[in-house]
Order: sequence, then structure tokens, then C-alpha cells
Amino acid sequence: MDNLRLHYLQQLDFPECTKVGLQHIEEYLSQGSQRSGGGGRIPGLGGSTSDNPAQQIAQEFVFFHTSRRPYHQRLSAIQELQVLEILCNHFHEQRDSKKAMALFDVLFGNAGQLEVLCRLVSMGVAVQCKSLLYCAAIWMELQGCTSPNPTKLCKMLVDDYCLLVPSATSVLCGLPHISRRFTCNFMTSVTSLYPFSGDQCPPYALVEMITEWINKDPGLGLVSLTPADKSVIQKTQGRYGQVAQPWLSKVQTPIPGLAHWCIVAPLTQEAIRAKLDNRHGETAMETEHTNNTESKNLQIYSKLNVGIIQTMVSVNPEQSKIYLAMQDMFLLVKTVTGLIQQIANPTENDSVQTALDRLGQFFQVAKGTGGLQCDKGDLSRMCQSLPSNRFLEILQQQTEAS
Amino acid sequence: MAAASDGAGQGMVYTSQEIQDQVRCFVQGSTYKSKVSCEELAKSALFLLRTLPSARHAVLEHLCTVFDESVNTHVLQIELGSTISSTAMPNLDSVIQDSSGFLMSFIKINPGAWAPIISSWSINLLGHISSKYAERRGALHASGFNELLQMWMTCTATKTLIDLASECFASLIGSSPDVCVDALLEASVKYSPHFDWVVAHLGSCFPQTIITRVLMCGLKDFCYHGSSQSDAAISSVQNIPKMASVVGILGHLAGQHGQDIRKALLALFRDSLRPDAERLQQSTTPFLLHLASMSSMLLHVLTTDFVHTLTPDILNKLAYQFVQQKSPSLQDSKSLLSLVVHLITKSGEGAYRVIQFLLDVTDLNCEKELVPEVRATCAIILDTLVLDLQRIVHRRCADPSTELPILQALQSNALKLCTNLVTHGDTRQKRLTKLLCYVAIYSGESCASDILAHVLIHSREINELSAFVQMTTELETRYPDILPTTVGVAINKLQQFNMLDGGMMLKGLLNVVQWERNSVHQDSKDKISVSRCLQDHIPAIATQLSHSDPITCLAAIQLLAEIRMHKMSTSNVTRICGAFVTFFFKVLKSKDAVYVASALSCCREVVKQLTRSPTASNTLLRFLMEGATAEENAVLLGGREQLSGLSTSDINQLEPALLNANREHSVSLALPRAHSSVFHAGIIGQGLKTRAVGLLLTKEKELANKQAFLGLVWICCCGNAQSQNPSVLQKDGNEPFAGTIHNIRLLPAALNYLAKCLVELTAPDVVYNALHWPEEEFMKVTIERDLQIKKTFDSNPVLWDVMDLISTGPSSLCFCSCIIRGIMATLIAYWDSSRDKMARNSPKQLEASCRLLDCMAKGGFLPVPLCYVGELFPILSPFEVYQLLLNVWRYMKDNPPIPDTEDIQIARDCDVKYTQTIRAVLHSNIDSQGQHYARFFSAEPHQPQPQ
Repeated sequence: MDNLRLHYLQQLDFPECTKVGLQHIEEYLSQGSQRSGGGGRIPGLGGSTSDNPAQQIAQEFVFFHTSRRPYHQRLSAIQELQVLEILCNHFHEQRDSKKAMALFDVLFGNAGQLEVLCRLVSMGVAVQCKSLLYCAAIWMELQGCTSPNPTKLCKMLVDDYCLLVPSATSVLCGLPHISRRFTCNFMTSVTSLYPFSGDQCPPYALVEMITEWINKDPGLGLVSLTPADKSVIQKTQGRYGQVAQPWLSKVQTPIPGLAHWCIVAPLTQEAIRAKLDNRHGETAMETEHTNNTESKNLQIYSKLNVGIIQTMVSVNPEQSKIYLAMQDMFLLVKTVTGLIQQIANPTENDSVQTALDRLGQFFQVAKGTGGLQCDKGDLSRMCQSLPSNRFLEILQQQTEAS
Repeated sequence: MAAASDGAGQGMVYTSQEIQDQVRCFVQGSTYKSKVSCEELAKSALFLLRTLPSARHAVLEHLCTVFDESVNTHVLQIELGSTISSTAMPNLDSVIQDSSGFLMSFIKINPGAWAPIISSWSINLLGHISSKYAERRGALHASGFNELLQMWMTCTATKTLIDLASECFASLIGSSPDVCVDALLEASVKYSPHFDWVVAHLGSCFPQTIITRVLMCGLKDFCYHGSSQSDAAISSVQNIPKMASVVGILGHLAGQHGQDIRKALLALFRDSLRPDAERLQQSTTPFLLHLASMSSMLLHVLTTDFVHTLTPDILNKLAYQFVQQKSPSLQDSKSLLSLVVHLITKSGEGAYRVIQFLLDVTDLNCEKELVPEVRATCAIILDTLVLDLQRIVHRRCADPSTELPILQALQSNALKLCTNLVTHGDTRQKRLTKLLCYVAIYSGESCASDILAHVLIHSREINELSAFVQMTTELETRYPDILPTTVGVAINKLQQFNMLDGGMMLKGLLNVVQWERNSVHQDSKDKISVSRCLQDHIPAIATQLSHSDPITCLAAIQLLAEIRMHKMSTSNVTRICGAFVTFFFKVLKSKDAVYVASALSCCREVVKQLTRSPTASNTLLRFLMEGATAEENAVLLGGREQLSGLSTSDINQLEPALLNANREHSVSLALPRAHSSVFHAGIIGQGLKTRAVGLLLTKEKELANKQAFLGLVWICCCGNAQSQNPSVLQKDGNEPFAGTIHNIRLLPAALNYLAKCLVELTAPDVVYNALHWPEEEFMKVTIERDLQIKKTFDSNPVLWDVMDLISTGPSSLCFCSCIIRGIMATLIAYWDSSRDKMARNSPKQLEASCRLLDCMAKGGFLPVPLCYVGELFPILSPFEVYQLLLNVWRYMKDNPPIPDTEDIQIARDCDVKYTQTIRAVLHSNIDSQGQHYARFFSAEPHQPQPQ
């Protein structure tokens, strides 16, 4: 029967065979679910890729990675676009998120087609394909938002929409309208993409966009805390096996990453300014330009900071989960200490004080809303390596008092 | 959304539906599924470009086809003329322009992101297009590189593409030039010959960066391949693909950016010598050498510019680097050396400098501080080079088409090399000699003779001479006639040369000739020698005698003395004699005794050579006589009369300057009517020329001069006799005149000629030049003429000596009869009118009378008693002298001199009537002259007594 299908598909011409192929995969998957629902298959044993007909069809008629059709050795870029369009349409028309996820899993589950996936998601953003982005969001969570593949996907999106085609940034701005979950995971990935180490600052457009998202919709950063529909993931359980486990125990949210941005940003600004000061002979215009961008940056990051705090505050106490570990905090403090060491006379420096204030705020709110579990001594240990800051001192006193 | 309004976008947000529609439209159109018009397709493509980032690959791919199509149309148009009107593809150009506008704006907005994408896209597309259409007829027409460039630049599509590419380069060049250059190189390797125009164009837009980067890429590649293949690297250098394209690119850029390339190469080289050079940089030198082996242009740079930079310091560094870096396996270094040698043989213009450099380095005398290894290596290189050249040159005899750039280049510098050979003595002689030989063999006989001639005329030392001999021997195997040609060239040069070098050149020739004389043995008589060759050029050498520089003249006369002269044409003889005589008198004027001595001895040799032919001896005699009587020379030979009036003027300026100036012209070839050849009459503004003055000579000097002069005359008169009796001559070389007359018979013919000359020079006209003596009364008719003759003799006392010489001939004096007569008449008139008590009171006249009678006696004019009368004069009174002279006149009148007579003394007899006067005079002075009486009369008892 499977061979028959393949044979039939092989008779078809290019765009048709892909379309029909997708249908066949779905058909097969639905049959398979029935079969597996009957408990016929043991997860993790039966599903080796090579003899899985769905995989075979996907490889041969979606990605055209096969030796059997020499005349279609590689798709041209236009044909690839065509495939992407077909896939988009298919996901668009697929209202059943379970089926969609199953298909998505067959296609991109083993991350062999990352390139195509990136383009597909990029296109999905443009054509507002909700189900596709939902699947992608789940995929990111399964992989772990900060692991390489999802990071790569997000980088591609940033490149596409923020760097290469600035005129299309508006499309990305509407991302929360398409899929909040994806947006949330996107933010998580992106914060790990630009860790503010060295001079690697995130593009301004991106920061601006994220700030807007968060300010408009404080709950956005917490979407990933709500677990996805179990039945959607069930089918893929077998494949991910161990990989899926961390997702269940530890949820990743964009909050630590974004907080990191806000706290580190003023320090980085300071470092950049110091570097510029060392370089003399700058014209007045250039100085003015840097001043402008600086103030713009300061503004946007304080806005973002507000957004994050709002987000944290908006956490529903019942559903609240721990989204921050003390280890993360210490890591953050370590980074901050490192940056402060480069700045002369830190106690009187405004930027340093701002950063420390934000750190304190973040700690306080996280602790207050239950996102962070810590011991009494943690804060003082945290503050040991940091320069003195009024707010932190108050916090310490409070902690000791309580 | 701040950036959304930039550039291409209109700031509008498109709905997903719109985007989907456009995607569909684009896919349908570009895959030809449904008919979508070209403009619509382009519109949707551009729409997708700015709304759907993930579609950019597809859009760019689509643009590829659009550009391709446009180029196709263009090529078709070229092929078919303009029969295909642009209606077939109406809007392709506008599509191209639109899209390029978009892409340009993308590059401008965000160069960091877009430039790499677009540059690699455009370069690949360009490569694809240019190789695709390279075989088409339209493109084939553009055979040359420039035409190809022209053709592609007129095509809108390719021009747009290349503009895009250069825009990308411009924006990337500051930040990451490696990216674009790597792409360029790869494309260039891939689409090799057809892609060159792109590289060239881009290269000329960013020469500095491209050249440096290309070189760096090449170096990296070279290092990589070189290290991976180790020993086989050298042979397989040609196989390293990037090397070829590096060379190709540099070759294209060489035309316009040669200077940049030069700078880049030098910079690369300099960097490699820094103490902190990396391993990569350390292999720069081999890399450069290999580059040069692949491109003559780079080789040119290497040989012309790099040689300057190779100071001892740098050489030492290089040596150190080489030792350190490679720990070279023997084979490797060997192949590198052979590569160097090969490159040198291929080097063109800079070859001379290279050779010069190598010679300098190997020269131990140079005080440069060089590591011995460097010196040794250069010596090896040079020796290998010489060997190689030898092989090639001799093989080339069989196949003359072989080109050998180094020799070609050295040909033009051959003379400099020769000079080098001459100036730098022994150390580099061997190699240079060989090298010059090969240059000579390579560049043909005329050049060979030039080189040889140069060496010849510049060789002063004996080892330089040996170089000449070596070269001649080697070259004669190839060009048997080289020696005559060489000598011809040398002589020609002699005439072209400016005044100062002549002496040196002649010295060189002289050296060779002397060497030949000393070394050539009997068995090698058949061999062509320089001196034999010089025989054809005697007139040319002789002209050098008139040179103003005494050294040159001396050299010339020495040379002439060494050459055996054979028969020459009359005109040549005249020229030689003229020059010689002028020179001779110039020598007499010189105050440098050593110079005079050597010159005079040479002069005698030359005269000996010249007088082998009677014509020459006659001409010479005549010129000598003329010279002696010339006003400016008279002083030298004892003439004093003129001096009396000239005491005020400058003593040193002996000769008329203008005459001297004009004589100078004879040294060089006759010039056409240049200003220098025009005889001028003085300098305007300085008034009349000051009268020239003679210098006052000492008596000894005068005598010596006279002796020298007469010596020459004597040799002339000897004619061939000397060759019959060389031993005598040898002995009397210094003193030819004294007492040898009786040993060697002078040629009567020569003496006759001399006599006739004398007559011609002294007698003012020919009317009374008959041999016979007229009546005494007739003296009054010829009085003026007689006075003139006497005056000539007075002002040129040497004429007396000449006459003396003439009188030794059997009947030569007869031809002087008219002169003797004239002088006699003057003297008779003088004594007649003299009222002095004693004749001795007029010493001049007395001396003249005595000498005259002495000559006549020697010449056999007078019989026994008459011939002694001169002896009486000093003690007689003027009247008695008068009487005696008159007596002689009468005798002569009755017994005129007859030249044909074999022996005058036998034929002549003294009649009594002529002795009466003598007897009377003796009688009247018998108190004081009694003892002389017997001498006059008693010796002949058979003589008839007076009646």
C-alpha cells in the first residue's frame, strides 16, 4: 500500500506531487494514530525514519531529498518558494492543531530541514499562518527555546525582518496577533541570541518591538507558563523522548533574558561611551549622533523594564510558577560585576546605579510574586560583589528584618 | 516601525492575503504555469522582495533569468545586426533598472546584511552569463580583452550587474574585503577565461584592495598547496588553480595599475622580512618567484624594482629566513635555485640590473657585509646561469627562433657590461667574459663586433687584453670574420669619438698589436691578426695624428709604427703623409723631451714603413720640405729672420689658431656643412688678430730639430735600401745622418726629387730655371729673383742642409743649379759692393759663400782647385772673394752641370784660365796663405803651367 502510494506520487508533476504528498502523509498519520491508539506500536521503537512511509514521502516529495529522482536533484529557489507556499497553505487550511502538529513533526521533527523550516516560519509570519506558528512554538519548546536550533530560527527571523527588509518589520510587529505562544518563545530565544556580551547589542528595532509587545500585553511573557494541550504533544512524545522531559519540569520564559537586557544595557552604554571618549578627534556631529542614540536606548530600555515588571506583577498567583532560579540571579550578578569592573568610580556612576536599581527591583518583584525562591542569605551574598546601592541596602535591611 | 518607511517600502502594511496573492502570482509567472506579463511578474517580484524576506532567494533567481534573457537579446542583436527590434523584449530594460534600483537601495540601507548576498549573487551571475555567451557568435567577434569589456559594458544587464557588484564591494571593502575577494577569486577560477573582464573591471575600481587581497589569497593558497605537497610543490605550482587566476587578474590590472601592483608586491615582500613575520609571510619569497615564473609582467616588476631593495641587510635576512624556515631538503633548495636561474634567463628589461647585482654581490672586493652563504649562493646562481646560457645559445644555432629575453635585454646594455668588465678587473672577469660572449653570439655578428670592439678599445691592462683574446677565440668559432669587422667598428668609433677618448682607444689597439707582435709565432701566420686588419685602416689612424691631444697623437704614431703598411692608393698616401708631417712638426714644437724622443723614434719607424713605395717617399719628401719652409715651422729649424719684427707679441702662441682649428676637422669624418666646418676669419669684436710669434729655441734644440728633420729626409731618400741592409739602420737608429752616407747609397731618384722640390720651393718662377749659367752681365737682369732665393735660404737655414744632402747624390745637385746660381749672383753682388777690409767682417755672407762652394764641390760642379776656394774666403778681402766667385761663375758658365753624366768629376776638368785668378789671389796673400798653395796647385804635377 505504501509502495503504491509512492508509485502514484511519482507519476505526478512537481507542484502536484507535493500537494498530494502532504495529503497522503496526513492520511497516513491519522491511520497511524488509530493504530498507535490501539497500542500497536511501542513508542521509541517502531518509528525509525527510513521505513516510516510518512517520512519517506516527506523526504521525497516535500524536500526532494532522494536519489530516486535524478531530474529533481535539487529544487530551484523558485520551486522552493512554491513548496513553501504549498506548505503554508496546507497548514493554513488545517484547523486541527493535533493533525497540524503531527504533520509538522514529520516534516521538521528531526531538525534535518532547519533551513526550510526557517524560511517556512518566516513566510508564515508574513502570511499570518496561525497553526504553523503554533506548531513552531511547540517545536521550540520541545527543543528548548535557548538551544541552537530555535535560536537559529529566531536569528533568521530577526535578520529577515529587522535587518534585511526593514520595511517588513511591521509584519513582525503583528506577531502576537498571530500566535502569542510563538511570540513568547521568540522573545526567549532572542534574549539568548543577544547576550550583550561585548558590543553585541540587539537591533534597536527588535528591542522597540518587544517593548511594545510587552507593554501592550503584559501577559505575553507568561504564555509559555501555560502548558500546551497535552494531546497535541502526545504524538510527538515518542520522538523526543528524553528531550521532552525538561520542558515538563522547567519552563523557559523571556523574563530572565529581558531583565538581563534591561540591567546590563546601561552598563554596556557606559562602556561604549568610555570607548568613544578615549577616541578623540570626533566631530561634533558624531558626538551628537551617539548622544541621540544613547538617550533613545536609555528610554527604550527603561520602558522595557517597566513592561517586564508589569508582566511579573500580572502573574496570576494561582498559576504562578517558578520562572527564575537563584542560579540565574547569580549568573546575572556575575555579568554585572564584570561590566562594573570596567567602569571607573562605579558608586557615583548613574548608569551603574540604574543597573543596580533595576537589579534590586527585579529581585524584589520576582521574589514577591513567587517567581523566585530564595533563602535569606541569598541577597546579601548577591550584594557582596556589587558596589553600594541605596535600594539594595534597603532591600537587605528588609530581608533581615522579616 | 521607524525603519519601515525607508527606501523601497512605501510604509504600508500589506495584508497576508495580498502577500499570498503576490506569491501565487510570482510562482505562477516565473514557472510559466500561467501567462503573467513581464511587468506584472517584475512587480510582484519586487513586491515580494520588500515584504517577504524568505522569498528573496526565489526573487533573485528569477532576476537571474531576467538578466540572462536581456543579455541573450543583446547578443542576438549584435549577431543579427539591429533586425531584431527591441519590441520583442520591450520592458526588460526597465525591469532591470527597477530591480537594480531596489537592490541598490537595499545595499545603501543595510550594507552589512545585503552586500554579501548581492555581491555573491551578481558575481556568480556574471560568471554564468559571461561563460554561457562566450561561445556565441556575437561575443566571439570581441576577440580582444578590451573589446570584450566594451561589449559587456554596452549591455544593460551586465552593466547593471557589475555596477551592483562594485557597489557591494565599495560598501564591503572597508569592513571585510576578504569576503568579496574570495568570492571573486573563486568565480574567476570557475569561469576562468570568460570572467576576466569582470575581475579587471572591479579591480580597476578598487585597485589597491583587490591587488593586495588577491596577492594574499594567492599566498595563502600557495602555502597551503606548497605545504601539502612538499617536494612536488615546485613542479605542480602550475596546477594550483588560484595561482593562475591571481596571475591572470594581476595581468589584467597591470596595464592601468602597474604602479599599484608594484607597490603591493613590494609591501608584501617588505612585510615578509619583518622580524615578527608569520610562517605564511615567510614563504613570500618563493611565492613571488613562482608568480614571476607565470607572468612576464610580474617578472618584470621583480627584476626591475626588487633588485633595488636587495641591500646586504635584506639579503642577510633572507638567508636567515630561508635557513630557519625550511631546513631545506636539498632537492627543494636546488629546485628553487634553478627556478631563480630560469627566471633570470627569462628576465627582460631588468636583466642588466640583475646581472649587475649578482656580480656586485659575488665580488669579494665589495666591502659590503654579507653572509658568506649569500655570496656563495649568488655565485652558484651566476655560474649556473652562465652554463645554462651556454647550452641555450649553442643549441640555438640549430634553431634560431628560440627567444632568450635576458640576452636580448643585455644586448642593449652590452656596452655597459663591457665597461664593467674593464673597470672591475679580475674578480668578475671570467663570468662577464663568458656572459658577453653569449650575448654576442645571440645577437648576431654586428653586435658581436660592437662588443668586441668596445672591449678592444678599452682594454688597457693585460688581463683585459686577455678577456679580449678569450672572447675573440670563442667568437671566431661562430663568426670567422669577426676580427676584421671588429677592427672596422673600432676604427669607425675612433672617428666618431670625442677628442678625449681617442687616445685611450688607440692605446687599447696598440696593446693588442704589441701583444700580437710579441706572441704570434711563425706557425700562426695564417691567423688573422688585429694588426693585419688594421692595415686597411691606416688612413683613419693617421688622421688621429692631427688630434689636439698629444697623448692621442703619440698613441696613433705608435700604432702606425707597429703596423706593416702595404701598398696604398695615392690619395691615402697623400692623406697619411700630410697628417704625418703636420704631426712631426708639432712634435718638434713640444717641450717635453721624453715625449719628443719617443714620438720621433716612432716617426722614423713610420717613415721607414712609408718609404717602401716610391710614391710615398716622394710625397713625404715634398710634404716635409713644404713643412720645413712653412713660415710657422721655420723657427723650429733655425729660421730667425722673422723673429726680429715680432718681439712684442705673445711668445707662447706659435701657430695661427685658425689654421689649427681647421686642422682639427680632419680628425673626424668630413662633416656636412655645419657651422663647425665653416672657416672663419677671427672673432668679431676683438679687432685684428694678434700676430703670432715664434718661440725662442735654444741652439741645441734647434740642432736637434734639424737633425730629426734631416733624419727623416734621409730615410726617405734611402728608400728600399734600408731593407737590404737593416743591420746598419738598426745601429744608427738614433744617428742616421752622421757618417753613414758612404755606407748606404741614397737613391738618386729620391735625391733628384728632393732637389726639384727645393727648386720649386725657393725659386719664385720658372723662367730662369734652366741648368746653364748665363753671362755675368745677366746677373743684373735676375737680381730680384736672386735676392728672393737668397732670402729664402736665409730664413730657412735648414735648406742649406738639405742642399748638402742633395749634393751627396751623383748628379742631383744639377737640378738645383738655378738656386745655386741665384745665391751666387747675390753673393757676387754683395762682395762687389762691399768696402770692408776683410771678408770675415761680413760673417753671414761669408758663411753662405763657403757653404755654397762646399755644396758645389760636393755635388761635383767644381774641379780640384776651384772646389777649394771656399777655404780661402775667411782671410781674403771682399774684392778677392768677389774675384774668386766670379771666377767660379765663369767656370760654371762654360761647364754647365749636366745631370745625365755618370761621373762628373771625371768629365770635368779645370782649364788654366780658371785657375789664374786663384793663383793671383794666393800670390797676393802669399805671406799668410803660403802653406795652402800646395793644396791648390802642387798636388797635380801634370797640370799644365799657366802661360
